[in-house]
Amino acid sequence: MDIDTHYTANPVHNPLQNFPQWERLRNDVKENTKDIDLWEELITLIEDHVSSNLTLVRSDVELKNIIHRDFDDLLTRFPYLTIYWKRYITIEYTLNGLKPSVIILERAVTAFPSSLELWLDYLNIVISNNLENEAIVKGLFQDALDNVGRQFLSHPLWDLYLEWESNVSGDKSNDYLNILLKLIRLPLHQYAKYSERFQEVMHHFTIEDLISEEELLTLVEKTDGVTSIHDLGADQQRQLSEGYFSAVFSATYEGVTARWEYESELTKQDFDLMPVTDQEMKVWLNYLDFEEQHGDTLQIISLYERALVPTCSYEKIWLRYLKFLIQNTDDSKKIVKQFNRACDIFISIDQPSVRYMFAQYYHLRLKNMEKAKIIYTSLISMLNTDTEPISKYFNFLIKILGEKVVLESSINVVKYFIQENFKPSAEPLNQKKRKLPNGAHPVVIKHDDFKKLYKVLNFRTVTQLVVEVAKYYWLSKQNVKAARDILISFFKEDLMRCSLPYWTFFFKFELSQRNKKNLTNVINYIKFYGQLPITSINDMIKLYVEFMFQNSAPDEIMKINREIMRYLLETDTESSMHMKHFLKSRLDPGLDEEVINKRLIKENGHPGATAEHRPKLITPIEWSTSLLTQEEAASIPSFRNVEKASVNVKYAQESI
Amino acid sequence: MLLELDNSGLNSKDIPQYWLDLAEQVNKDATNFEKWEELINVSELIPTSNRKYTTKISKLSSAVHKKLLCIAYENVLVQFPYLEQYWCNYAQWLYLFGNTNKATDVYNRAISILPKSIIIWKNYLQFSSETLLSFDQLAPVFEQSRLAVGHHFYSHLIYDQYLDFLKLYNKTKEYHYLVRRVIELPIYHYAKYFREFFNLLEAANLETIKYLISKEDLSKNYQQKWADLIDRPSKNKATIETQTKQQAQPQAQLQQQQQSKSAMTELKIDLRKRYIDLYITTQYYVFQIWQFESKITHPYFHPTSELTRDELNTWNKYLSYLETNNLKVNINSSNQVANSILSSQNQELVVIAYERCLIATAQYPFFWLKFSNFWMNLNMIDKAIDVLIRGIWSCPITHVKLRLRLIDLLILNKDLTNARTVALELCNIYPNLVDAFSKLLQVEQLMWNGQGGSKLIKLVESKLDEVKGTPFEESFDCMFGILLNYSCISISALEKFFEKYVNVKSSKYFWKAYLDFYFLYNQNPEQLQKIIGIAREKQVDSNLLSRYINDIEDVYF
Repeated sequence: MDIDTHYTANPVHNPLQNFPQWERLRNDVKENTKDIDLWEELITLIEDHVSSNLTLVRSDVELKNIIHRDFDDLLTRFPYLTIYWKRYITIEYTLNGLKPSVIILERAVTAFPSSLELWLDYLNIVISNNLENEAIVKGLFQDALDNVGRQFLSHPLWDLYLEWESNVSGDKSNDYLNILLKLIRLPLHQYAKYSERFQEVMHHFTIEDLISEEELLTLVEKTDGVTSIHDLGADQQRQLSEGYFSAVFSATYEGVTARWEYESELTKQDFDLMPVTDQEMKVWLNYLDFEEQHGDTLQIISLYERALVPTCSYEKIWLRYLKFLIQNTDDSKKIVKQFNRACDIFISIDQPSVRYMFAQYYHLRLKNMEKAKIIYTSLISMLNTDTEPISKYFNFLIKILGEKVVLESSINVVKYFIQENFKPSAEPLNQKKRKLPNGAHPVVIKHDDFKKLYKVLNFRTVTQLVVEVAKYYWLSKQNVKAARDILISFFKEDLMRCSLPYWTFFFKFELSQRNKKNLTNVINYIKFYGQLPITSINDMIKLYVEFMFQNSAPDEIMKINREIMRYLLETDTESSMHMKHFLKSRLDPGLDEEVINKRLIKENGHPGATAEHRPKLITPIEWSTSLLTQEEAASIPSFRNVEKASVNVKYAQESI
Repeated sequence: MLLELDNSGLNSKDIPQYWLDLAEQVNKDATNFEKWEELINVSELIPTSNRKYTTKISKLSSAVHKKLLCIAYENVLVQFPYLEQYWCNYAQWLYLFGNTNKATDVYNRAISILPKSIIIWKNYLQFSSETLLSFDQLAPVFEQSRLAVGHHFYSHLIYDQYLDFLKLYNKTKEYHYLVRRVIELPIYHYAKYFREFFNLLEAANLETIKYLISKEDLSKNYQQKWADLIDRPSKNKATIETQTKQQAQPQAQLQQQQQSKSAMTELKIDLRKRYIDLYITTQYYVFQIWQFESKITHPYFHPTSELTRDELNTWNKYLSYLETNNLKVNINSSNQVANSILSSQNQELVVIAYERCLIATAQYPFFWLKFSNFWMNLNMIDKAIDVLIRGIWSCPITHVKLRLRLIDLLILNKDLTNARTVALELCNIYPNLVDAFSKLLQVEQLMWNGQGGSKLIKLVESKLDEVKGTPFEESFDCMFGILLNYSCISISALEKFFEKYVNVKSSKYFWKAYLDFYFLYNQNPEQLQKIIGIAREKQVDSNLLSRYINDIEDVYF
């Protein structure tokens, strides 16, 4: 979002013209949206301006809009920053009064529903200002309790609810009792307080009020000689209920005690921009393990939601949570919502596993192929140097479209890409000019899914389709020849020269086939023609050398020992540049190492600057001949370029 | 034990206690250079009961004290052979004690270890000048030093002595020849020798001019003979004068005759001009080299202090500069990769820079490997191997790359027996190093000429048994993956090998290799599914493995 669009569109009036620091800070945070210190500076500045220029800010709608934008930008990016929500609400209250500030608070609990603090603020404001009727307030309490009522330290919310219910319905009302009945079963930090309160009020209610009909029936069945609750006297009923609730209290106590072991270890429960340490992560994971074994579904979800406050940017916890939801709940809308939360707000694009899981969820559970396709193609588009999404999409398409369509279309996409981007007129370097064979028709992509796929591919990723087709032939069809044919049919294309996935796969394929000859051919090609990262080429060369030592006879090694020495020189960090013969060849479009040697000589001693001519003694005395046997004076020296000894070097930037 | 006193013929009662204490300390920790220095220092002094006197020992000191000094030096030089000055001091002591032959031996040993040390050569020449009294005896030593360190940037230390020596014996011809040779070298005191050369040229007479220009050059470049240089107007001038004679007045003719220079003078002027070009050329390279030389602050070996990164970078850049500077570019280049051949003339400049560097950086494997690569690039594999062997002796044992590279080069040199010996030695030193064992497997494979599949498996099995239950068990599980690459091992043998360990291995390396085996090498989806099931049951903990299993499942299931 461009936060400046609003006012930069009108060059006549800039509401921040009198606030240069504010404007500067806005620009700074725009450049560094993750820098929380800058945000803090900006928000503090806004607060200062509001307190010192209240009348001005109140009267200037555009300024107020800018304040909203600043807060909204921050809290859209980091919705779990409770303190900034609170500061936003305070500012809003100062500028626009109560109701707008409550709307902000409402937005806060929507964006950060697992914040106990925000829910408490919200409910307190609503109740203390009588903003809503009883039914709505009760509904708000229910929402709050659904979201945070099972948190270990949620007692302030329960206290508020009990107090409100007591005021509205009285503490002898069934509504009040029902809250307590729910509360005494929850493993909360202050469970004892609620047990005591329950024991105080339980005598005002009949056993039917206290225990559900089904459970009462079970209790009666266990009592000898009794068929109905009405067969029991008052004392017996009291004993029965006390026994029943004693067991409830014990279970709650045990639940609290067991959880305390983990709760007491939790050092990081709030969100901040610092990474979660391994220890902190371990505590959360252990707690989740425990809860998944012992807790009920709601308790487990509550804990996941709590854990996902400090760890919201960690894919590991999200994957686990979503897996749990898929396995244990049926509400697909809620699951999709959680997927969207994870993908849209919290998990960065470089952690794609959640997104793959999302696509698989649409594919396998919801049978919604179109949505799955959208997820895959958007991933391919966003991760535009990564080949994994293409691989995943390819396998997905194979499953839904069948191999014939996918294999043919994939190859067509690559051919079409070459046709469109590497015109026959553009002659490939050092290779035969590529021409369409006589009578050959231009390639077209027929399938719509592949047309869409083509649009999101680029020269780095499109080659993965060749890899996928070859991989499919090799691994799924177990047809090594077909796989090799596909790979070979493309290897001369210029597009492939810079394709790391293609060459990595080709190398691995031949390595797995233990095919020495083909492996040598692959290496021979990439060492001269490969436009891959130097480290990648060198890694393959190292593996190749190892492979040759592992699979050659001594005589074979002797035949190629000079070449192996060159490989060792090429991959050693200790080697000087001029020893890296293949790299030098690759650096010259004509593959002529000597051209690079000349350049090295010109730049020697001052990289980036060239000295075209250096003085050179061309008839030096042979130093190894003995002085004592020298018969005649040494010949007169001859030179090259002596007159250019004092010419200054030419800097690279000068020639640009 | 480094200090062996038992065979020294000394009675321990004669040895001062503090000397014995220090000897004991260096025995316990031979790397403690400070203690070695202390031992040398006390050995050089005449011992007293309270150690207050600091008089140095002399020829007249007791045999015991002289012996102790020799023992201390011998041992410190075994431990730290790159201490150039210590060699010289030791030889000097022996010379002082009257053991000239032994001193010569010490110098010879020093030169064999540090053949390009300017300090040792400088001292050796001084020593030789004092001990060898004839020209015929001394001249070869000077020549030897010129060949060894003549290209050293600070070789004026030997050239000054050499020239003095030649002057002393009135070897005018050799003196001229040497100066002429030295001025071609880019050395620190190049200007001094040019001054001397120009002085020689200035002072040249009919006899000595022959040492500065050959007969052939005189004829070719000046169309003259030696006789033409006799003090009279040159031919050209004479011709001009003849023409002038016919036109000018007698007075002007006389004046012209007086002003005309002799052929010798003209020759000298022209030669001077030519040699100015040489001066410019030499100066150019001295200036180029100086940018590196000026940054070298520790050109000597020190056992305990580390060189700064700046110093190391300077050496690296300096060596690369010299190598590149001497690249011979093939003018008629083709598309083939051409050899980067250094001219033999300038190769010595690079070699001596390497040798100088390796005195200071003897404990840094980077430079040993770089030097070895230098020879390898010239296809001189024997020299590359020699450098590595020297490096292995000099560097701490922890730097295994030197040995691994040595094994590679021995293989490439078809010396499999020695390659195996080095590999076994490395495996003995580091029994838990996977790289060492892996290299041993390669050598064994070569020795068995591709027929040793089952032997390789046995070797790996015995290694796996050896490390079983140790902290290194997991790292050696990567051998399962490595064995997949050996085509001498049949697929069925590999299958049995994996099956043998399926119930006992839980590392990600084993399971990754096992999955690879059925996924890539011996494709079998059913078996693969079974293996995935077992891996999951065993809860092999690895994110990478889980992702790999997901990929496999994407393909098959």
